[in-house]
Amino acid sequence: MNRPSDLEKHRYLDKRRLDSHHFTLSLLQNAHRLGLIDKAGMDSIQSQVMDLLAAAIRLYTRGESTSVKNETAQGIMLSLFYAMDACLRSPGHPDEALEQLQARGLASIHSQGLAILESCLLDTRRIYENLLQQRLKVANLAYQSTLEEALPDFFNHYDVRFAAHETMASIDYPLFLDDMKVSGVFYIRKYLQTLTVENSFCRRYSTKEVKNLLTAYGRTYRININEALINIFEIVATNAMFSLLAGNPAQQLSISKAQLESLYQVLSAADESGRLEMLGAQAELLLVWPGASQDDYNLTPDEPWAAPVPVPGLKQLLEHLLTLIMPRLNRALEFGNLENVVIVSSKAAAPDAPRIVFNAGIKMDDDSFRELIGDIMACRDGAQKAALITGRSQSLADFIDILEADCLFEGEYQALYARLGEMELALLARILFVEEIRSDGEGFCLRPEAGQAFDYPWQAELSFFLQNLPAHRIKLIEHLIHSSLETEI
Amino acid sequence: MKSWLDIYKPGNYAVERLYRNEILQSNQQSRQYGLELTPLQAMELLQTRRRALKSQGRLELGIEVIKKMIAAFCSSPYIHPHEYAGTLGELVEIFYYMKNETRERLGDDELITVMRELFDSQSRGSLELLRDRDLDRYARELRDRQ
Repeated sequence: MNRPSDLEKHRYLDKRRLDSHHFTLSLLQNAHRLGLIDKAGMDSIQSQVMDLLAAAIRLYTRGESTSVKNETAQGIMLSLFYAMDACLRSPGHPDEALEQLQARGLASIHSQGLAILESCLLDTRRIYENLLQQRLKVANLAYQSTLEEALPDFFNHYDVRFAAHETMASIDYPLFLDDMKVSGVFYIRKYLQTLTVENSFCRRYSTKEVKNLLTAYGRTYRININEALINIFEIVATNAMFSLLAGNPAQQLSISKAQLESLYQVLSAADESGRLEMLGAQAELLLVWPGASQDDYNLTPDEPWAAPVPVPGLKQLLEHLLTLIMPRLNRALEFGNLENVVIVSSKAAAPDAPRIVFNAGIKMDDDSFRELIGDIMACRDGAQKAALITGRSQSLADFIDILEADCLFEGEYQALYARLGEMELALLARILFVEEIRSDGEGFCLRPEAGQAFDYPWQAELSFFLQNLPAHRIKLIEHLIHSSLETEI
Repeated sequence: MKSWLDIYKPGNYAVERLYRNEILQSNQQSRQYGLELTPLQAMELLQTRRRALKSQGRLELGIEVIKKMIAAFCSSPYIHPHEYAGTLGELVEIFYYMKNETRERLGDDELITVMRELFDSQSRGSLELLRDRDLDRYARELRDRQ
């Protein structure tokens, strides 16, 4: 059999076959296996390792002792390799790493590795300080003590030279997606960056919303939420998904009992793939949060040494969340205990939390109504008009009257409907399609009918708006239409 | 730790020969006191060192300690030529044992100096007294002090 050419050999040094957590050893083993480094080369490297170890022991004992305990020697050895890994992982391809290893020698590689670890430590401290300023105002002990005690302890005791591979910190707060294979300062950096992504997500919601949710979570699971080892992101993101599905405003996490019942009906009616589609659509909505900087959720490495230890972005976290939620959701629906997955808050806004009050029977008096119409007409911006209408109309009747007062034009209807939740849209759709619902009964659906004529522009605009909603929202609105809605017009 | 990088496995033959030669070079110094090691005794001393390190759970790269022990003890009036190799072996064993007993609070040079002083004075050349009485007491006092 012919020996492989250099080109062929290189092709075989596959990055995927290398263990990034023991990169140097794994690189050497693979290179030796492929014949890229011969026995003499391996002996030379072993001899260099021993020289490095001897020098490190001398430094460790400040030149006073030539021997150390075995465990000390092992620790120093692991530390040496941790630094060399940091250096050799940086080149894009293992070929280049091997070339550097052979050309430069281990002492130079180790020295550069130490410099990388120092940079990484500095950067990690910066990430920690930023995170500390933006920490959540929650009373969870593990969360706070990790930030206040464990991490400062790490920075005070981390030993780049003799124990770089060790993660000397009693970190209690569990990440949602932790990577325990990483160690040392790279672990802490990844931990802090992942926690930054989790925190940025939770900070979308008011402290009050988060605290209320955690309290409700504690009540549901009968645990002391301040002392429990929980991941706040997981709890917040789970309810955020279901809250959106229930038609709540984006900033709301609390879900009422009535909404839980609606969710139960909607989710039960769908099969597993349908449920996944519904929740996946909510996850998509969570990814495109208005005003949020994508940099907060996708921490791309800015240094070559950081690239081999990637940090999960929000997308990855939400995808992972879906994989965890789905089996729990399916079981909960099967056994009728959805409240174990969807946390119901006793402090949820009004029942069903409509964004505007439709059910109160109090109609505006004529003067107030005229004033509101005047204000709306004076507005030139559709979004402002929509905010005025949703903010000041007091009943569904007021709302319909405003729609029929010819104070909105073209796209302004769409801006207004976009501010409504599923419940309000269902109420309007019931009025719009009253005849169809009466004739089709349970079989009614929001399918477009060709050539359908409407009396008012708001009706045609509403029909258009509804047809363009995502499938899962249409499904939810249809379900709400079929439910017995108590409207008081 | 991968096997080819096992830092505890016996050194290879080339390294052992190198170490043996380094030990034999110290004969130049000890010869003035009538003390000399043969090549075989030098190899045995290396073996004793390896066993002592293993039993004390320690690692040492290089043979600095042996060379320093020879330099320190060859002038002792209590070491006789026919017991030289055996005494050195026992002293090496005592040294690594005391490194652990003193919880590494003494550097190599300091420990060797203490051993030599006690060996010549209180122990009067008795290895048993040195290890089981005098150094033991010294180590206890050292631990109590700190």
